[in-house]
Amino acid sequence: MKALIAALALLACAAPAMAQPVPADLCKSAEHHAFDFWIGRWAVTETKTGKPAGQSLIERLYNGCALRENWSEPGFTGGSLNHYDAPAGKWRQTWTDASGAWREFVGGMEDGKMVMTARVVSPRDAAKAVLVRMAFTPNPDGSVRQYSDYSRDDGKTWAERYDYTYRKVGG
Amino acid sequence: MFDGYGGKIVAAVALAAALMTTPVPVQAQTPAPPKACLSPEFSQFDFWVGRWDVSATGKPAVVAHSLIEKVYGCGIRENWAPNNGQDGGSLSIYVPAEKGWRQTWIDSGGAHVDFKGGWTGKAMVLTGDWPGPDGKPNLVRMTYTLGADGSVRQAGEASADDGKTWKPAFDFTYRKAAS
Repeated sequence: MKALIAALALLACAAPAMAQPVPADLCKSAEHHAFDFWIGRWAVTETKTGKPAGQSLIERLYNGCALRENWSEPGFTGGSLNHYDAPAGKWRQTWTDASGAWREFVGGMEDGKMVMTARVVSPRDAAKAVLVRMAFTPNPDGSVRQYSDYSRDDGKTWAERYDYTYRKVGG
Repeated sequence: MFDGYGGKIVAAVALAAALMTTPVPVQAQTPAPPKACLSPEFSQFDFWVGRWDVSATGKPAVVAHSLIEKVYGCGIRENWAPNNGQDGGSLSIYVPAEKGWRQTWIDSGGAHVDFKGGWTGKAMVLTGDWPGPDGKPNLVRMTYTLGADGSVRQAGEASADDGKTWKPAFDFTYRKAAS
C-alpha cells in the first residue's frame, strides 16, 4: 500500500520521468559503471612531458545515472555530462566550455578504454566535419590517461590533439 | 584548411583555433584566445540563472530547489533538487551554427533528453523527445518565461503525435530563494 501511495504521489508530479517509481536497479548495471574509473578530483599533466595541464573534478550524480566533469586550466574552463544510454548500448558525453563549444560524443568501452567520438561541423563550411576522439584508459596505479586525436578524412588518418594523465589529489 | 601543416602541435592548434575545440595543448604557444560568447544570444537564457524555490504554478508549496549557474562564461548549468529526491541536471548553451539553443538533461530516473530550440522574443522554448516507460516517442516542449516580479515560469507540454497536438505536462514557477 505504501508503495502504491508513493507511486500515486509520483504520478501527481509533473515531469514525465517522475511518472514512474524508479526501479531499485536503475543505473546499477556494469555498463552504467564502466566509466567509474574517471570519478575523482584530479591533477592533470601532459603524459609525455609531465607539465601541468589542468585540474578536473569528476562527480557521480543523479543516482549514479550521470558523471559530471568540471575542467579548468589557466584561462580556460569547461565541463560535461556523461551517461550510459542503455537503449542504444552506448556512452554519451555532452561537452561545453569557455569557447562556446557544444560537442556531443558517443562511444563506449573498447579493449579496456572508454572511447568516444564527436563529429564537429566546421563553422565555416557546413560540408566539412572533423572527427574528434577521446580515449580514457585506467592505469594499474589508479591514474587515468586521456588521449585525444582528430581526423579530417572521416577516420582514415588521425593526428594527436593532446595526451593527458590524471592523478588523484587529496583524499 | 588544415593541409600543409606539418607538426601535429601546429595542426592541433590550427584545429583548436578553427573549431574552438579544447582543451588546447598547454605547450603550444597560443595567444590568448579572443573572448567567446560575447554575442547577445548567449545571454538570452540568463533570466533563468539563480538560486530558486520552485512550486507548481499557482500553488504555494515548494516542491523543489534549483540552482541555475552560468558556467564557463558561456553555458548554463541546472541543478534540479526536488523534494522527492529524483534529482537531475542539464547543460544549455547557444549554438551559433544552429542559431539556436541546446539543452542536455540527465536525471536520476535514468532519463536523457536532448532539447533544441531558442528564444522567441518572449520566451525560451526547448523541445526534445522524452519517451515514456513504453519507449514510445513523446515530445516535451518547455517554455520558460520571465515574470514581471522576477519569477520564472517553466511550462511543459507533451505530444505523442509528433507535435500535432499538445497537452499540459507540468507547470513550475521559480522564485528566488531566500539567501
